[in-house]
Amino acid sequence: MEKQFIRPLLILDKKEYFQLHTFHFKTVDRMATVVLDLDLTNLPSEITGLTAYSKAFILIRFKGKPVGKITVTVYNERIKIEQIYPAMIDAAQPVLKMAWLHDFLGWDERDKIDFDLPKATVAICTRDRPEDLRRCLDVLMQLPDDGQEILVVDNCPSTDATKKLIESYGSVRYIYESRPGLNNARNRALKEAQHEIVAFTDDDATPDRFWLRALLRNFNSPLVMCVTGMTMPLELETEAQEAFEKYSPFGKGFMRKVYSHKTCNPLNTGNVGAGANMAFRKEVQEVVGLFDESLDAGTPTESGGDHEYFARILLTGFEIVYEPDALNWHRHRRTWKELKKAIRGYGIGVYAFWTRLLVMENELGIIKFPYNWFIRSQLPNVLRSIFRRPNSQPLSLLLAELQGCFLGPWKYFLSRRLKRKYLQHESC
Amino acid sequence: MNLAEATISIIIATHNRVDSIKRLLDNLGSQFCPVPIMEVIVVADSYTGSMASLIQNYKAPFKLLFCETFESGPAVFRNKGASLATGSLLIFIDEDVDLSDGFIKAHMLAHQNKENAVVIGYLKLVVPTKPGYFKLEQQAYWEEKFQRMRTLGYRFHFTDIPDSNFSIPASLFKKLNGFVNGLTYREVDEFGIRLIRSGVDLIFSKDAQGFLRNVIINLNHSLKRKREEGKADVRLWRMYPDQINTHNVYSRLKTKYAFWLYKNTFLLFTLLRITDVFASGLRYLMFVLEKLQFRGKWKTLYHKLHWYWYTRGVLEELHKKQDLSAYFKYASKFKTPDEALEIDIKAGLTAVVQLLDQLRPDSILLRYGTQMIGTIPSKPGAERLKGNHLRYIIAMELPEAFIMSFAMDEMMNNGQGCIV
Repeated sequence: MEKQFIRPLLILDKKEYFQLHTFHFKTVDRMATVVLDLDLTNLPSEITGLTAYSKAFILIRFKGKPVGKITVTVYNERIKIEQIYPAMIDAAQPVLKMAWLHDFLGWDERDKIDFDLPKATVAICTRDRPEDLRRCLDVLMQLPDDGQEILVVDNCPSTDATKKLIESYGSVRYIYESRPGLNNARNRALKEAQHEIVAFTDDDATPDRFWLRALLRNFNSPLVMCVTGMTMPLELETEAQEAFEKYSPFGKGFMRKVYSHKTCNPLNTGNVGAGANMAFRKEVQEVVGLFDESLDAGTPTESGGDHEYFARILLTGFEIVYEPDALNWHRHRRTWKELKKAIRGYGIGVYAFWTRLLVMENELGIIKFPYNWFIRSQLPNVLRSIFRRPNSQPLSLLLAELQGCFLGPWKYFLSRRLKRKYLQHESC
Repeated sequence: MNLAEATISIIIATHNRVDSIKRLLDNLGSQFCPVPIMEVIVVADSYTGSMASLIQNYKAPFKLLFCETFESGPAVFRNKGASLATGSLLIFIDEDVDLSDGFIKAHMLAHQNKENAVVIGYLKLVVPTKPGYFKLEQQAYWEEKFQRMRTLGYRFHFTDIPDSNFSIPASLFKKLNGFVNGLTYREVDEFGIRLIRSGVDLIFSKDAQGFLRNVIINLNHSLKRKREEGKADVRLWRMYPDQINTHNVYSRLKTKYAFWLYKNTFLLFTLLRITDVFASGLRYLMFVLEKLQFRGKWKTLYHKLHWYWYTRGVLEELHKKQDLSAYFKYASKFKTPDEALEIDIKAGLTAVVQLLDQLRPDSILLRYGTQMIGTIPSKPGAERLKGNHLRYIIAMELPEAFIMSFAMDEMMNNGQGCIV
């Protein structure tokens, strides 16, 4: 069955500002979930043309600010807004109230008496994904011009496709990083960035129009060393993508939160944010250090580099702000095989970065984390899945994660050994 | 203040730390001062040999005056320095502060076109690269203190004025008769109360930045200081009972020591001698908790010990039964609401803000149309309300009440609900 990407064929109501993020598969194997983006102050009366969809995942906004999400059923290829409106308000209620109030008062907790937005370098670390990168860059070109630079770090590519692509974008800087590993690329971006703030987005993510400004507004205190944003699914066309969004969503809620050693355990960084959407002060490399190059994609540990860095930032006494207004859209893994591999990789990454914190930072407090996670979350989830309780997670994903956890510490030491060998080889 | 006519006097209190003073003087020499006249006055309780040598040999690009005083106490030093100052603007700094570039310029710019204002500069704590838990707590406390002053609509309190890095017109300082001696750790707070009462504007300037090296060295020092602060707060309460919030101390003591407080103070203080020993022992437990990296337990114990020693200082100062009774009687009595100014937000935020700026009430009764939102009560020790406080207070203290009142009023007037 041929699958094609076609821009929306929907017959929309006359609201021209209605936004739709979707790709339309020509397949009838299963009914997918369409991703919609609706603003409560500019709602159409109905949405039609949803021929291949049984459900709709709706990001709810209030005057552009994300306030909630909801999944609704599509009936007769359409959605009547008046039928889902009460559920939308209900889903968005806690955040919507405050958003309305702050809008009414013209007041924002982020505003300070003497704060000017700093300039930023937007860094995309990529490897052999020129099509995804093109989509990301096309969106970045549409961001309001606040003097930002865009930097692409091409990490150990197998072809020069990315380099050729960048040449077609006049204002984008291209950096070639020969050492494999996502954290190598991130460190390179930190060193090469010309501006005070370095904002990272993945090559398979597309930022919202005011993503960068929303990140930068939170660097209003010298203790804020990092800001993370909210990530929503770009599409939910396949079962694997829906399963991922249910299992381990990147989005960490719609409320702004400030993480510090005062408000949370600095070792518990699972909910702080994700590497697909984060920004740092460039000085982080002096005061906290660089990303650990033995962690994350491109190494045996496969992930964990971002969360380990968040932990080190909190341990050093700095703050991390989670800002849901800094929104980007991420294309999740499409196939079940890729998804299992990714979940296994997350399990490896978590245990790998815990191993690093224990061994390199002497953080004995990490010892209770594996026990707590297993007893309070993983084991109950496995049992729920085995007994087929409602809303249980797929057992194959849970087992993949456990497998990854088991391998994590060993993978970290292996990664360090490989890194040493690589560096020795380089010096020779 | 007209900057073209302004002259600066910088007053530094020192305890004979020659290296710190020399570094500070070098720093001041490299500042760009937009007016030609600047003098620095260094006040010490007595000069050691090396300090005397510095006085004799230091070549400053500005007028430099050293003076001695034979009384002790930071208030005495500052008053002495101010009495010798000839500048129209006084800047008070401690010797352990490193100044940012543009420090003096920032203080001056903040006073521009303001006659009666006190400018609070930003003090950034210098911490080591891998700070221990104690330094992390200090850093967090320090930053929180300054960052909240940067929030739009923040309502200043007398405790916001730091011991070091603030500036005041000389005429205002003289009018208020300077600092009062004898209130260890609370001289600046007492001065702050008088500033607030006289309606002076407090302004925060991030650019008037200093880097603070030696605030409180370690946990033991911090706990001792907390005890002294407890005592000083009681002395401050005796001077200004309506400006000090006694409720927190009272409510905790009432819970734990109610029987002892009212029945037998002798037994109370005997019990406290026992708990003192226990609390002193717990101090050493904190080192063990840090070694084992039990963060949560360390933090809990940290706050409990600080609270204990603060309360201990309060009780020590109130050591007589009649003093204790008077304190708790004052703290426990029901305070009738002040005559609050009634305001209807439905009249328009701009109009309400202008009204507040004009009237500067102590407390407000807020309405939205026919619906009562709530009261912004009188806050001991805080500046009187003004227009730019309103949004901050509604957003931070009355959000739910405001939303409900708005929704109810809309429903009653228009017969339909609204988005909230």
